Amino acid sequence: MSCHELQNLISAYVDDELTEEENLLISDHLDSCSECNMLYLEMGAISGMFRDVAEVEPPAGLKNKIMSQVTIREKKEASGMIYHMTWNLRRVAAGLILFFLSMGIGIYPLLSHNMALNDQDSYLSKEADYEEIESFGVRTVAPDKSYEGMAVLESESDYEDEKSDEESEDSDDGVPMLGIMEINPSEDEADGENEDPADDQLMITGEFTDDSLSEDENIIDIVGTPNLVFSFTGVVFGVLMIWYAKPSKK
Amino acid sequence: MKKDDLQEDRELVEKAINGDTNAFEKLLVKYEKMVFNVAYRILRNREDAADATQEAFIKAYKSLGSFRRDAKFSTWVCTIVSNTCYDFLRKHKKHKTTPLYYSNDEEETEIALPDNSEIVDPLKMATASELRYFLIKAIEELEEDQKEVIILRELKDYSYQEISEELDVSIGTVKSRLNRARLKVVEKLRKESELLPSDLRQKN
Repeated sequence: MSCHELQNLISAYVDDELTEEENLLISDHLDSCSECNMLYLEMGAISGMFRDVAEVEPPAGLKNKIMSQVTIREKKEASGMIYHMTWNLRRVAAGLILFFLSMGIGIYPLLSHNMALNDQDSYLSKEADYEEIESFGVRTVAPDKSYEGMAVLESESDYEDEKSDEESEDSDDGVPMLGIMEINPSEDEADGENEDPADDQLMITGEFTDDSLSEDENIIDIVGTPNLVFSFTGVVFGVLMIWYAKPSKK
Repeated sequence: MKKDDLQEDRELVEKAINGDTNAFEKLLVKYEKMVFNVAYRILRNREDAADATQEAFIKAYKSLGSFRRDAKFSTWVCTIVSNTCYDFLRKHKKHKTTPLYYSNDEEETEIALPDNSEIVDPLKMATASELRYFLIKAIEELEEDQKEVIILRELKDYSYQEISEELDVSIGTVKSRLNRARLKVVEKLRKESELLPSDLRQKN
């Protein structure tokens, strides 16, 4: 028997599925050929690797567990995956509309108010005017320290108080908070841990803008309480809606 | 009996495709134990085997549409579970290149432990589980017909006669297919360097 012939029968030899005659031929060859003998040993080691355990009973609840998953799947299938997806998409869309609408309701009066202020301010020097426009919530660079009002306010403000307790600050110092709450309703102000000096500057300049022109105005006066409440609620619900529409894990 | 059985499975599959969950439940009842045991033989852990069984049946349910009408449901679901188990092992594999001899991975001893019908030699058990992993990997890489035949032989413990009935081919075909499949597996395992350590080689 040649090596090639043996290799065609070796698996059946391992499984003892050959005739007596074939078995003899193969064992003779294996005695004389170390390469084929190696193959035989390797195949022998492999075959039966999985068969060395007796049959076991599956866990009792397994069938029901599988069926419940199948049934859930079937129900989903029946109502249609596309339908489910559209509902999620609808939620996201509605959430986004609500979010931006509410933001708009909150911010628009502030913006128009600020523009009006800027118009009134047009008699000021170019430099000052530039400061004004920059000052509404968009400044990213530190303001000019030489500017008079700026310096005063900086010395007056207690930064920690500003951040930790907005309302008390409003009443104590008579310094209105312009734009801060609406621009960033939940994050920076609430945690009170923001040490970023740029943020502080932002708040101060916002106050400055308002302060320099009118002592009594504050955000509630400008926007109006119902608008403010609606805006805040809308933003919260919008975010909730989008959050609720996020794809589930399974 | 055999033919009726086959016919019954086909009808059940057909019904299940059309959304009849009761039909699928019948198939599940019929093959749950078999599938679980295939998983258990590969994973050696009841919990993992149960998870793999569940996953395999869900997969089967999802892909009933792609089930070949001339195939047997039992064989088909077996290839699915072996594939699921391979995925499971691959995901839980922490080191692939560590030599077998130093392997003392806790997970492997865990897999090996429930199966201590014989005296447990941790070194040997780790070696065996490592080998089982590469074996199932090699099997998964085979062509479909060779994979089927080796799964029926190694994981379902079928005789050549049973395999020939199951696949509806001659015994000669079973022999040659299985032979080719095993030669390929040996070749693959040889490539994985020292996967067949000498003590295992001498075992049989």
